[in-house]
Amino acid sequence: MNTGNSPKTEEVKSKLALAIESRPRIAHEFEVQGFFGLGDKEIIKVAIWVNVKAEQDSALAAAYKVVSRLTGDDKRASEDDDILIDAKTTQILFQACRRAEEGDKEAGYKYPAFPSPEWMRNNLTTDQLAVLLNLYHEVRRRESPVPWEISFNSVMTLAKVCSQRGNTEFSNTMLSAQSREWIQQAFIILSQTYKEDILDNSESDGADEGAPELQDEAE
Amino acid sequence: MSEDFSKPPEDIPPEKLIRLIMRRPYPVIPIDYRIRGAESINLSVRAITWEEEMEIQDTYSSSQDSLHLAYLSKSLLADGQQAFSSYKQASLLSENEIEKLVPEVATSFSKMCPSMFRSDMAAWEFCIYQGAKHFSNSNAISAAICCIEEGMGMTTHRLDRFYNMPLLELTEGHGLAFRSLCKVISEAMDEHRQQSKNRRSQK
Repeated sequence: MNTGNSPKTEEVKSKLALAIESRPRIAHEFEVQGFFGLGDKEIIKVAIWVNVKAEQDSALAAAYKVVSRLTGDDKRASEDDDILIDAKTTQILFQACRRAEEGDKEAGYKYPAFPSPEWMRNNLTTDQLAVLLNLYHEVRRRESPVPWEISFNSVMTLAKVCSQRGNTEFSNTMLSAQSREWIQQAFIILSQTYKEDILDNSESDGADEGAPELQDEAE
Repeated sequence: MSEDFSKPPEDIPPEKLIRLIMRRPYPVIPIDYRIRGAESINLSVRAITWEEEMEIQDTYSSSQDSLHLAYLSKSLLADGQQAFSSYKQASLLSENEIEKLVPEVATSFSKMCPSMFRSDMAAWEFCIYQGAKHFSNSNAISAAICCIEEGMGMTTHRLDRFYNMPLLELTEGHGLAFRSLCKVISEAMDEHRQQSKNRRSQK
């Protein structure tokens, strides 16, 4: 029975724990624009990896301390979700964004891209943070893709609904249920259809060829 | 899609389910997931003991994420051995890996690790009792009879003797299975007494 009085012993690590500790971290590099580091040095590339739980936990703990320091005795401010979410985001991005200069990949992206979370808060705009957050989500998706399917018919059905309902809550609800990758592919499919149906037809000399047949994905 | 993990699994017959939760030192279920960098290592999930369950609830219940990781860190086996010796070690997993492993642990627990914190214990007790009555578990009944001590007006259930394990290393499933076996024994004895009484009254 664990009495809690046993002396501290060195933590035993299983084969799995050792393998996890020694595996290289996978980071994805992205070119960015408008980011400047210390001394106004332009940051051209950022590498982003998926945080491990320990990094995530320490980011969240640090976020609470930042909020507490920022809001002081103001109870209402300290309970504001937006302030906490922004603090969490900054802390998480500080852990996840890694320097991607020459030699950094070989060194395992040892250094963070930005000097500190405080620096990020003081020098990056909310738009810049949003860009980094999107890239972080993109990396998470790449590392652990969720299977999704798209068909020509499903795209055209949704397009028809949106064309009939316009910019309404219904259309927005239908679209927000789709993943970013699905919407990306749907846009490409619609663009190709637009080219075939409208642009190519309008270029012809009035010859009544009719609209090209919409291809069924089963053909 | 949501599954009710509180109920006993419908795809395991009660007579097999009681044998599963009685396994010593604890039931284990293999899982398909492989961890990057350790693809050759087979993973499985074991049931946790009552003591481990209470430790997790006492320490990590304030946060759902921490609770899930704590269950994972206690129950995950790598090639049959404890995968992580602490919560801190399990924190080396990436968010994506934890997102994949936590449901595997939940699914495995739902099949072999009933707990008052997660399970519909009334449903589990009914199911396991049905399993205890099945003829294929008659050997377990015989063994349980030898582990019930009567004396000084008291009945003592010797789970430690039945499982040959210290009491605090048992799981809730172990306790549930033994109680069900004892209930079957008790009902059989009551029936026997009633029949004897009837025979005597007929003479």
